[in-house]
Amino acid sequence: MKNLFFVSLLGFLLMAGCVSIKPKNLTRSTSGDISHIDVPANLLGNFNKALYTATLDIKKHHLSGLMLIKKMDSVPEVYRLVFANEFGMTYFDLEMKPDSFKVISCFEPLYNKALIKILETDYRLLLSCYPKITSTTYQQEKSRQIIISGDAGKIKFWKTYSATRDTLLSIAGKSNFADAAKINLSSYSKGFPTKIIILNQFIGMQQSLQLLSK
Amino acid sequence: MRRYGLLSVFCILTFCAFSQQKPLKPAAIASLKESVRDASQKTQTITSDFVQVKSMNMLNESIRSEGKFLFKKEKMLRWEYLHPFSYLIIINNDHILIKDDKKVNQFNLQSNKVFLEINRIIIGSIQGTLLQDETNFQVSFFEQPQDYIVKLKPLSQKLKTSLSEIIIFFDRKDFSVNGIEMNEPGGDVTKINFKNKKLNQPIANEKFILR
Repeated sequence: MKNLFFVSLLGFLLMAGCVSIKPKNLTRSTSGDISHIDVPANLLGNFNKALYTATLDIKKHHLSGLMLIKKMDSVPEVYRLVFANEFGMTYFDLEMKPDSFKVISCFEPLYNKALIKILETDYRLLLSCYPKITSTTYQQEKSRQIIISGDAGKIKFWKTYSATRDTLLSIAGKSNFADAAKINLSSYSKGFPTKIIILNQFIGMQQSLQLLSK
Repeated sequence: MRRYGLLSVFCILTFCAFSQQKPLKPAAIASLKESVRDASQKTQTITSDFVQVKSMNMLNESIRSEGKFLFKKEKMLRWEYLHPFSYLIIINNDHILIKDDKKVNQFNLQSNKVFLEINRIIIGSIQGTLLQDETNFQVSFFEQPQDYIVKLKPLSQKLKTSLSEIIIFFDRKDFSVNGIEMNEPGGDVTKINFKNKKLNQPIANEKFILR
């Protein structure tokens, strides 16, 4: 029984170790000005919606289509995320608020509670949609990139900004080892990321979003 | 003023009369089924442009896309989106290729339950085989001036969660498919209209080669 406990603990630690997402070599910022970031807290910024071509790859399965992210309300924030295939059929339609998450609809073969939970964490990280945040600012010694580390309820996240503090480069975060996610934002156009890649290493899932319109 | 009121009522009634879908009688249903089956058997290829509009009622949004559609018997389909994005889907029997600007994905249809189901619905609608499928759908038949309308309500609980109704519009002249409407339980509707349709024009097999 004791052995079983240790084997389980070792297994857990190994699994948790596999998905280390915290940026390395962080130094806590002591200067006051470093906390200033010229990037909207939310992905959509001043826009209410963004339409992306989207792919979702999970192991051997490949889904593709369009994803619409729409801010339905500002106070409190309400988002809808609709992923539909090219023929128009909805894969999933999700509603997200800082304190709740609702599956409006989901294509039956995709409906899996664990997968939905992982998607929730991904999109909370992407849209910074949390109940409450406490954060600390760090700087990476070599790159001079700014990292904001935060606790938002069950989710812990790290947002990496360029050394010039005007571009959000990546977001990493998790609420447990299974939903650990790394999000890369790139190909900026007029301050808006046109390419987003969300990687959930633990379950081998990758989502790619390419901006079509906003 | 009263004259305008009467005129408005007359216009509304006329519009309603013309736009109303009338249910088909049993003899007409049998005849339609046979005509669609015959037309489907005679149709070796379809070349068409398409306009697709997905309306998301709750979000008050719609997404419009356009492209080219090719079909060749038995199970070869080329679905090419040209606007507002470039996207190509080729289905060749059990194999599927998806190509966006840079990336190509190929997989077996049998390994992907989601695409298998979608493919069954799309090919079944185009070939008209879905309207014979009374084990999986409750089928009802209507007519309007330009089309025959077949409404299919899924019977399987699984499909019901994604689609509440599929509506296929058949051309009254050649019984080919003019359009497909997919209604989802949440109120979203996707309408695909085929334009510049050409039947039985030669299409090279290369158009369906996966590479």
